[in-house]
Amino acid sequence: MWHQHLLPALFPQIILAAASVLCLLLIAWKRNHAVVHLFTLLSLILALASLGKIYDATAVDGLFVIDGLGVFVEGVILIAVFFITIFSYPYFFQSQIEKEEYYVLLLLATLGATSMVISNHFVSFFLSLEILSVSLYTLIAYPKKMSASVEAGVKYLILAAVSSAVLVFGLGLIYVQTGQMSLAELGKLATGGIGANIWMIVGLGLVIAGLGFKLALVPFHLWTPDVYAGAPAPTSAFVATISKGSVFVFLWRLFSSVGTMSHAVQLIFVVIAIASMLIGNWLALLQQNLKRLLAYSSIANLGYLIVAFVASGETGLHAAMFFLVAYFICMLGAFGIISFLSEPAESGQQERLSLSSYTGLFWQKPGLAVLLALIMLSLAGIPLTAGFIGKFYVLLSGVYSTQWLLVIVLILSSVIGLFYYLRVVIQLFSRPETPVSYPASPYAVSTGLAFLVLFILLIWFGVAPGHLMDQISQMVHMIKG
Amino acid sequence: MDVFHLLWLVPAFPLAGFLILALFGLRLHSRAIAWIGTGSIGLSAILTLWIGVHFLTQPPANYQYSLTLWTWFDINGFAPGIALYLDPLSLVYIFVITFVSFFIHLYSTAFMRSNEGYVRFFAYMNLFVFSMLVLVLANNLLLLYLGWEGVGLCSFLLIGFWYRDEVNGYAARKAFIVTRIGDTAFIIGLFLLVKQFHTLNIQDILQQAPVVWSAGATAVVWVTILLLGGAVGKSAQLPLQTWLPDAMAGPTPVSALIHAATMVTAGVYLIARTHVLYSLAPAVQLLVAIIGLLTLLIAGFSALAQHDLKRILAYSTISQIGYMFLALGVGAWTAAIFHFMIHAFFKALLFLAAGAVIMAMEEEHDIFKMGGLRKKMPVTFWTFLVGSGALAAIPLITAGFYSKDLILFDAFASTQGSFWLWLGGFVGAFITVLYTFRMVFVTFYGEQKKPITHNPEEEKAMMIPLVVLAVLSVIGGWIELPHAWAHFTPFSDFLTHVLPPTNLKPDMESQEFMLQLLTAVIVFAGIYLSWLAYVKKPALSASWKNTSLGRACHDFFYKGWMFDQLYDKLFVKPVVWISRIDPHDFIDYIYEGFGRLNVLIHAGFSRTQSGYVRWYLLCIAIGILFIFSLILFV
Repeated sequence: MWHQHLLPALFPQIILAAASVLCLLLIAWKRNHAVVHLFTLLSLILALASLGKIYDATAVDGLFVIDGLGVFVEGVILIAVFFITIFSYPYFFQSQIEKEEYYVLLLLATLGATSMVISNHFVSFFLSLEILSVSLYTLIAYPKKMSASVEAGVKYLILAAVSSAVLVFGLGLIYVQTGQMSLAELGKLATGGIGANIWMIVGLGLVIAGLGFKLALVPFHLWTPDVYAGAPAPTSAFVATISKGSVFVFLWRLFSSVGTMSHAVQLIFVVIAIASMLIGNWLALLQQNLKRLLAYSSIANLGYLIVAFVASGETGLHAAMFFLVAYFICMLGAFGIISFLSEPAESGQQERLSLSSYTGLFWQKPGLAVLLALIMLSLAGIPLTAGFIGKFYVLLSGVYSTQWLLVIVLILSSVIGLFYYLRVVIQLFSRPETPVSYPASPYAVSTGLAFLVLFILLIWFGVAPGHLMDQISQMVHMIKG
Repeated sequence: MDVFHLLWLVPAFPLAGFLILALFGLRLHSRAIAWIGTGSIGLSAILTLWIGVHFLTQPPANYQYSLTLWTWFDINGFAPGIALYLDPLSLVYIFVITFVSFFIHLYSTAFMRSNEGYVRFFAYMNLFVFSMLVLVLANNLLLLYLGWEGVGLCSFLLIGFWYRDEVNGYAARKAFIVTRIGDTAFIIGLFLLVKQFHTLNIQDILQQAPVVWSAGATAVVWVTILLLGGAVGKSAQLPLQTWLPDAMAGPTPVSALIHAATMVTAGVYLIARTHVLYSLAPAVQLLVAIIGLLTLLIAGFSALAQHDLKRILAYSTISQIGYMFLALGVGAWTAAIFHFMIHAFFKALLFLAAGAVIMAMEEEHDIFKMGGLRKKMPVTFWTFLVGSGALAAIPLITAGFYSKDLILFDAFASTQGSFWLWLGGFVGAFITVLYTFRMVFVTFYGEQKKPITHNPEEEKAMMIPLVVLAVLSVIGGWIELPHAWAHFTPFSDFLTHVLPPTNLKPDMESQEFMLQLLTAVIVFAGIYLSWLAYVKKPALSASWKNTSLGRACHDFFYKGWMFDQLYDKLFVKPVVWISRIDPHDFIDYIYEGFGRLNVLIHAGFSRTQSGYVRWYLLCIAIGILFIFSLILFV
């Protein structure tokens, strides 16, 4: 089947695939870090620009669905990867290892993520997921002489493979029951009352477990801190944001196509959300390692996101999208700062992990410290930041759908969360006994500009959330199965 | 009309100044700091003048202009905006705020030069001016409240500016906590308004209130009392006046700007702004008048006994705001605003001149240790004299006469006024003359008791504001002449586009001349008495003080009618007592227990993060089993 009209709709994926091949050729011809870096940035911009072409066109086909939700998240992903690419350059600049392939893998992982958010079929979804996952194994273990990174990569490889197996088994069970792998067809069947079938629900349960692993929801969260801490900081940013955001979109598509959730399925999500919110925050409470702290924080944040998911409907989706954007900004900024402050070491970059190594950052680098403090406040949900508005919308969606238990747990766990976020802020502003020295990083201009943009976005979406919300409600509509 | 679109720039300039100073201030040269700090206010002042001229020549429709910058948030129709509202009332306020602030900033560039924290000072001051402008320009009460809290914060920061001295920190906390009591009442009042009207837009509320509420309805009485609570706290009126004398711990320009000219009159602004509500609650309006009257008398007597130059002025400020409250209480809305403006001029002048004196005396505040400064500091002396004349309301030549006389007349002649209210104000006016000229004579006459080392008269930046404010303290009064003279009242005519005119009892204008004559007599009598007691025969005042009754009165007044001691006994001591007998309150255990519990849970879950892949896999399996069991058994 050859559909002429689908070609422009898939431009971003085509551009990314072509760019990764071209990038490899470029490396084969001559290794040059700066050239490859710029090439990656350019291809990302090109992919982003091509999104404008398909802004209005809604094309639905067997494998993919091009709708507002997909295009919006594709845009967010491409922008996020743009930031990660910017942060990668100074991070690898002084590194002794061969760094050019990192960008090829970044492009491939982005290809997987962007295809996943428009997937409308088990096959296309699984293919995208594996493109993303396989790229991630390598991205995590990229500094191959750093034992922590290799360990994290191997752990992720084993666990992700198991979870993929569970996922495929679940998808298979659904296929056995319905004979369908396309979400659109499943939606049509679901209206006929197939949702009550026990094997169908067992299949969905397995899919939840598989997706729950990718989203790092409790009890499938245990890998998160080890991988975040071991991976190079730009990769951690990728794992924390893009890989989760894209999987979440598929989760949404799947469950909105199989129709109103059955009682049992909803209960599973309620329990998972509560456990993630509480346990994520509890785990972070006295954590001394900043990257692990962010990992636990992301577990709790995905728990909040599931509250919007359970709320479902238009309100839930809009809340989830706003929350996701706010969360992306925070995670990108935090991991960006960690990579910016890392120092070159023998086997790779030495990152500042312990919180105490950030003591008094404000007195040395006030701009960075203010940004990091703002990120922490935003994650904690303090007003005038994007995080507050995001959490507020999530709370609102919970209230509208009368999920009182989730709402109460969300508030209580936010109180617990406040404790460790503020702990980081205090650390940044207290005066160290012996002044910590921070190295002058190369290429501070582009990174500084990226930080400034993140700073402005955090405040802008916090003070005047209307602009982003209008954009979301204009583009993102519930897909009808 | 286009110029009104620039209204947002009026508060934006000081905000920009604050941001620049706060972010980059430590790297700036002190000259640049002075330029940015003062220049931002100067730009606002020029723009205000431009807007003001347009407003007078080509007024917007109905003399009101609203500029919505953006909607703050929108919940179920409750959508407060970041929106500015300009009408004659807010125009008068922003005019006074920007111009007086500009001159005080100019003065500060020289006054604060030798202080560490020069940039911190200007950053706070700019933030203050921004907050104050937001307060008066806000078109809804929520934004007004934001400005209200902003000025409170800046007041706190600037009172405790010299934070290394513990006493200053104490004074700052006292000011913050006492005004907080009023603020709490204020915000509860706002909640009541939201409940009733589902909006906080001031104009909407004022339009709907007479429709929804009948005069004297319980709800409107509660709302006005609660708003009055906020006003009383911010404007240092009875019973929350105790913080202002201690607030003098801050640098003198701060006292001039925040604790005399602008912030402390925010209460007056609030009541004038919501005047419709007060008209609906006549009992509360009478309460406003009574509070004003009692405050002006109590503070006047207290000023009479003070030795510290700045504390005299502080009590005088409380007393003069009492006059404004008195005017509001008798429905003389325009008179209150007129006195606010004139008071801002002369009280800022008096504080700045006092600052120059204190600087020359090397931080000596006690007027009895100064003396004889008339010859050595001529500019300061003459401007201080002009300011004192305005404060004492010397007839015809000072602006204070025109504004205070109007209040006294309205207290007598308005339909809500009475002989007793007038008499109280009249006695207060006499006291004012006494303490004012006691201050002048003791400070500038007699023999010099301390040599001047560094004469601030050499600082042009400090002398120019004094002269300008002195000129304003004289000519400011000519824009509103008494009724009995000629019907030349452009100021109140301008304000009656917002505020209702004062209703006079019939046939009162004939008596105005009589009242003016009486006032004139007591002013000159007061000056003569002060001269007699402190210049001609200093033994006289000493002999009064040495009688046992005299000493008792003096001590009682010196301690501000023992309010601090009273509150200490009533509120502070019992709380301290309770906390002392109950240091291990069981309530604490609940919170401590909650904290400990969380730490324990944290420790428990941390153990699950073992790092072993086999354990992680086991957990995934357990998770799947858990999901299955949910599916099968629910």
